[in-house]
Amino acid sequence: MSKINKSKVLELVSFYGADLKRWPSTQRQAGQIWLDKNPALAQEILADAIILEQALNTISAPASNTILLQARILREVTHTAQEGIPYEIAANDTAPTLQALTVFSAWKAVAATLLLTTGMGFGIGQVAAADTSYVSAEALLSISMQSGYAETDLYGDGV
Amino acid sequence: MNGTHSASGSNDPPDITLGLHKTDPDADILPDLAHGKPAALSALMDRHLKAVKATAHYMLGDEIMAEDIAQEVFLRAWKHAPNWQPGQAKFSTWLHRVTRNLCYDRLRKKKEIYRETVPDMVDESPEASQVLQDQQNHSAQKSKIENALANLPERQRMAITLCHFQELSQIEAADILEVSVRAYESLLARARKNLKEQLQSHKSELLES
Repeated sequence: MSKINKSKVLELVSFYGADLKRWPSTQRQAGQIWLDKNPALAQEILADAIILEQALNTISAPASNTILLQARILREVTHTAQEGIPYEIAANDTAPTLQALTVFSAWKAVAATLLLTTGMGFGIGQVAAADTSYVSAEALLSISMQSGYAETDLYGDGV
Repeated sequence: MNGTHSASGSNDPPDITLGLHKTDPDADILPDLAHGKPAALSALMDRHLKAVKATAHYMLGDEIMAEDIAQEVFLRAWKHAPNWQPGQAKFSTWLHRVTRNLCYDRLRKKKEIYRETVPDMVDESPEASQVLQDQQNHSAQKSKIENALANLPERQRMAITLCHFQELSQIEAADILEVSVRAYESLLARARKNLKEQLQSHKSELLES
């Protein structure tokens, strides 16, 4: 365990903030022991850093699921050649793989069916708002390919 | 995916399993990705898309732009996978570097950051007004913090994003920024100092919240 003192703690807080989970792993244990042994000093040292961290936490990125974005990217790569591979070969290699993607494991198929049903019942635009994090992008892409939904149907207007 | 894909013809991509970074957590995916298998890209996105998109979100302050950046990052991963040369960096580090560079480019082009506007009042009952007032206060406060982050120089913003929001180790973050750990820590210290100075006048509001 590394040695630590007040000036080292001050330095680490100025870099990594008040939450020890962001400190270098080699310093965490020693840092925690020092903070526990010096509660008054710890409070003084950490106060401003805690306020800043709480402020930053209020602007956390929306925890949106990325399933539609994944499907969009997968759709895009079917038209994108890889470097060093002639497009025809890449395309030939890709086509059967995409077909293979239509074969899901059972739970994915059930989840995909539920998703599609939800989309038909309440408007496909609401699919984006639903919690679909358990459905794979391949499943959604496959639904799109099999059902013939246009891209705008899946993504909604303007996406 | 077993990571043992081998080249079988003159048109095949180079066998990237040779010398593959042994500690790279994505080593199992890269050979299939290099051979143009969309399932490998899907697996890669399962692991990294959220982080890439979140980084772009914090850098640009805009969800739509963040999605565009994320799409471009993974398209580049797809295109360049056959030429990937495993070395010192992990593949995820490369993804974040591409994200960083695309965000820097976008920031240079962008003149104004889109800010969400407060919605119009539709219910004028006292209860609704109070709720709306609270929402406006929260929104205004959030906006101040977002502005403070947006006002940081781009390298400082990237450093605070990797440390605070992505919670990456200092070695990995320094690697993404292509600087030494010491330089990364210096960026972090300046970023925190800068944010504190910008938010100093709102300290009491932040404490109340």
